[in-house]
Parts: sequence; C-alpha cells; structure tokens
Amino acid sequence: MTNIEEIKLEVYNPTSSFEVNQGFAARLPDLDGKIIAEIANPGWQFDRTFALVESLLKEKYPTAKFISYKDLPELNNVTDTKGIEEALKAVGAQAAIIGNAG
Amino acid sequence: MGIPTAIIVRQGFTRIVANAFAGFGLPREAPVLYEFPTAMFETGSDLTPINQNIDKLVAALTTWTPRVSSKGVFKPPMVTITGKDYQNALENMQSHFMKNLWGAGLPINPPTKAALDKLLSGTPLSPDTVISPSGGVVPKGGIATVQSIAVALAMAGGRPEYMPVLISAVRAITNPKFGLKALNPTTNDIVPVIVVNGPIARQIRLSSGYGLMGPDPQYPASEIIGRAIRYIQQNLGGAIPGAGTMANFGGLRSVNAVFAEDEAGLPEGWDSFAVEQGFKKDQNIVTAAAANSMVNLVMKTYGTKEKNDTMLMNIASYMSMSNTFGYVPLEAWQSPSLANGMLLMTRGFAAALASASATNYSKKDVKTFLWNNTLFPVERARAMGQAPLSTTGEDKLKPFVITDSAGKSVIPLTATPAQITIIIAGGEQSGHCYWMAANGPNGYLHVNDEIQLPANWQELLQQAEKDLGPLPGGSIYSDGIRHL
Repeated sequence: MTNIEEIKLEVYNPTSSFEVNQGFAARLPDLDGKIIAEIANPGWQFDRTFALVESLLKEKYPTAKFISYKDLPELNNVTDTKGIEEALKAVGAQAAIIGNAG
Repeated sequence: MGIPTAIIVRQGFTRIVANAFAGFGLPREAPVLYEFPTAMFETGSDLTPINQNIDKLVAALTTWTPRVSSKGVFKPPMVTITGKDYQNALENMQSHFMKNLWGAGLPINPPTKAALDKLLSGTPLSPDTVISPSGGVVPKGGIATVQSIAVALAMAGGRPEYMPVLISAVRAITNPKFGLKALNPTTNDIVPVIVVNGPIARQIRLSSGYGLMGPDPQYPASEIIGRAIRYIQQNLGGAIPGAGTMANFGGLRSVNAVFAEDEAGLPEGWDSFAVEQGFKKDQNIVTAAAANSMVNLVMKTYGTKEKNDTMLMNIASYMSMSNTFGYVPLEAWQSPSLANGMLLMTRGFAAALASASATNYSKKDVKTFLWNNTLFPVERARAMGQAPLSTTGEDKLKPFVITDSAGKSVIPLTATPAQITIIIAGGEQSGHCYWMAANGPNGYLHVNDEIQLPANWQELLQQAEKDLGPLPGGSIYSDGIRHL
C-alpha cells in the first residue's frame, strides 16, 4: 500500500543554537539576617512597591537588612547591569529584588 | 550577579525577563512565581497584590528551582515536514512554523539545505562563522552564524547577492554599541534602520529613490533583507510582540527600514553618509541606525534663500519635538556616532539648498541651521514634565543644558551640529523630506560594517540579471560594457 505522505521537506530550525554558560545562583535557606538589595528599574511605581515590599519583609524577617535602591545604581533596562554587580559586592548583598520590570 | 534575585514583574513580562537572562548565558527562564496585575503599576494604584503575594517574592529568593541546570551549546535539529505532495508539505511547513512562533504571518520560503547552499554562495565566509558577539542576538541570545543568517534570508525569499549586506547588517546591529538589547524588548516602537553606501546598493537592487521604505518589484532587496533581519530579531533575539518585545505599535517591524543613499543625488561638495563617517567614496558600507517614528515633510516651496530657510525652519519644528530631554546616557550623547534621528532629504531640495543662487549651503551649514533652530527651552521642557530626576534626586537634565545666544537655558537636539544626520534619498521628483526620529532613553549609536564580497560576485550579478531582468535604468551588461 502506498504511503500517502510522499513528500518530505527537511528544513533548518530558524532559532539557531544558543549557549548556557552559567547557572542561577543558589537560593537562600531563608531571609533571616540577610542583606537584601533593592535595585530600581525606574518607573512603574517602583518607589511605592519597594516601600511596601520592604515593610512586609521586615515584619516577616526582623533581622534582615535592606540596602535602599536610592543607594545603588539604577537598572535602566533588564540587561544593562553596568556598575550594579560591583555595587552589590561593595555592600555585601546576599539577595536582590529588582523592581519594577514592565 | 551571583546572588539570588527576585523580580517584581508585571503581567506578560516574564518572557522578556527570561529572554534577558538567556542573553547573559543563563537558562532561558526567570525566578518569577507571580506576575502582578498591570493596573498595580499605574499612578496611585492599589498595591494589595503585593500584600497578597509577598510569599511568592520570598519563594523566588529561597525555594525556587530552575528547570534547566546543564551547561553547553545547544543546537536544534533539522525539522522534517511531510505532505502528500509538495504543495501540501509547504502548507504543513507554514503551519509548523507559525505554531512555533517562527514566522510572522507572511508565507515563508522553505529553508532547505538546497536553498541554503545557494545563498551561501553569496559570501566568502563559512557557514559556521559566528557573526554575533558573545551573548548572541540579545536579549534571548541565539547565536547568529552565517548559516542561521542564511536560514532567515531563505525564509524571506532572498537571493545570494543579498548575503553580504545582510551579514554586515547583522554584525552591526548585534554590536553591543548599537543597543539591540534595548531596541529588541522595549515598549518604544523602534526599529533598526540599515543604510547602505557604495556600488553594491545598485548592484543588488536596493532602493534609494521612489517609494524608498515600501515594496518595489524593481528594487526588491530592501524589503527582503529587512524581513530577514526581523526574523533574526524574532527567532534568535526573542522579539515576539507582547512576550519578547513590548513595543505598543510595532510600526515598520515587518521589514524594518533598509535602503541605500542616493549618492548620485548628492550636491557638489556634500559628502555621503559613509564618507562623513570616515570611509572612502566607493567603499561598500552598512550603517546601522535606529528610528521610532517617521513623518513625511512636504516642502511646499523652495528655491530662493527666503523659501529655503522657511522650509528648513519647518523641518526643524518637527525635529525639535524628538528631543530626548536628557534621557540619553551621557556617553552616547557625547559620541560622534550618536543615532538621534536622521533626516532624509530628496536630491532636488538638497540641490536647492546647495545652489549658489539661493542659500549656497554646505551640508555642514544645513546641520548648523537645523541645530540652532531645534534648541528646546528648558522652561518649556519642565512644563511638559520632561525634566527627570534620578532616584537620588539629581537633576538629570543638567549635563545637557546650554545657554543660547539670547541667554536662555536650552537643550539641543544633539550635543553638536555634526551629530545631526542628513541622508540624500527618495524619488528624483522632489518636494518632500522625511524625518526619522530615534528618541528614547537608551542612546542608540550608529555602527558601521564594511561589506565583504565573495570571489564569484560578478557571476552572481550576471545570474541576477538573467533572473530579474536588466537593472532599472540600464543593465550592467546589456552592451557588453559594465555601467557601474
């Protein structure tokens, strides 16, 4: 019996290859006593959301320390991290919250 | 950054973040366990969703586990499409590509090995040659090789003689200086603009005249190359509307803007765009620029000094509203390569400006005139809310403000008149100019690339004449004499 699917088109996948050369940082067991940096992507009510996030996290983790976004470089778009890594190391940040991505 | 990170993300934005992480060499995912409603990010909004979901932000820092942990280069396999006949297989391929978000709605030509072999004859580079820098086509990070570029061109229906321009264009737009990491995902409606100088433009039928930005069967290279670039932005860079790119309107994104300067229309003494940037007259050069809005300017009357200056004032009034008001990074602002918009000027108007009996303007004179007449009063900028303060309260406008001849504080369109870009292009029957603005917070820069031709270039052009007919305006070989 003839197979009705007679034509095969072999085409290249247009997404091309990509490289994964690093993994995500290990997560923390909890936020007790941790230094948490706030990194602002200015706009989208970031000042209000950071104020609220900080107060809520302080209630849950009273020993956590927060480094305000005002004391760190801004993140002007999601991929522009110039100066931020150094600033985070300088303050000994153990976690970071970026806001607001939109 | 080496530390666990949580991100406050609005609805629909996680894929953008995942793309961005992929561009850093991380797995293509993001530590986001909740997307906050868009309404929460508006002025004076109800922030209750933060109260209700704070545990999810904590979980992103403490318990979140990525799906992928292995490292290496991952190459997708070939795709096999079947059908009862060729037509059916072709239709099945269209469906497969659309389901996988690899197309954009228009019919796709199959990127088979045979199609690629033909296209690869248009470049001296091997298929495995990597064109994009480390990090790939940002933000998603797909690696642009000569082969993957040929795949995009095959899908777009391209010809081998388009490969040199396309490869140069991809190298230019993926150069980190260009700013693709911002251009691809942004909410700003911004596209790459590829300007080509040199003899190659006419040889491969790139438009420099009538209908410059639109479809033209006489100059098909422009749209096809632009479409291939779009496939690269989308399939390698992740620019899917609403998921990988947030541009609200997406104008010109089907085919971007790819055209040649009308070098034959340059007035005596006016250098081409490429020569202004330091290249020689007959060098084949690609310049990548950016544009987010365009306006057609009708030159109602010109030809005398008074009329010419009036028309330039008209143009300046449109240009002045593209001021970036200090949003541009200072380093970009001060760069000679600042891509802050380009004015396309038809040859007739340029000739009138240069005419000794009228304004007798050099290109530099025109740039200075436009610069002086696009100075934006700071007072007016502040009244419009265009006076951003940084998160530390610093006045961001300050480094960009100068004092004009009347002693007023003003912000120029560009740091210097030399940074104003004027390109001669558009149909010979003049009467219009075209302002392509590039305002946005990222500071795009012009990036050049010299086009590399294969050894069999003349054979490719001869084949093009057989396939497409003589060049508009006369064949290269119709009388045995090369006219280019």
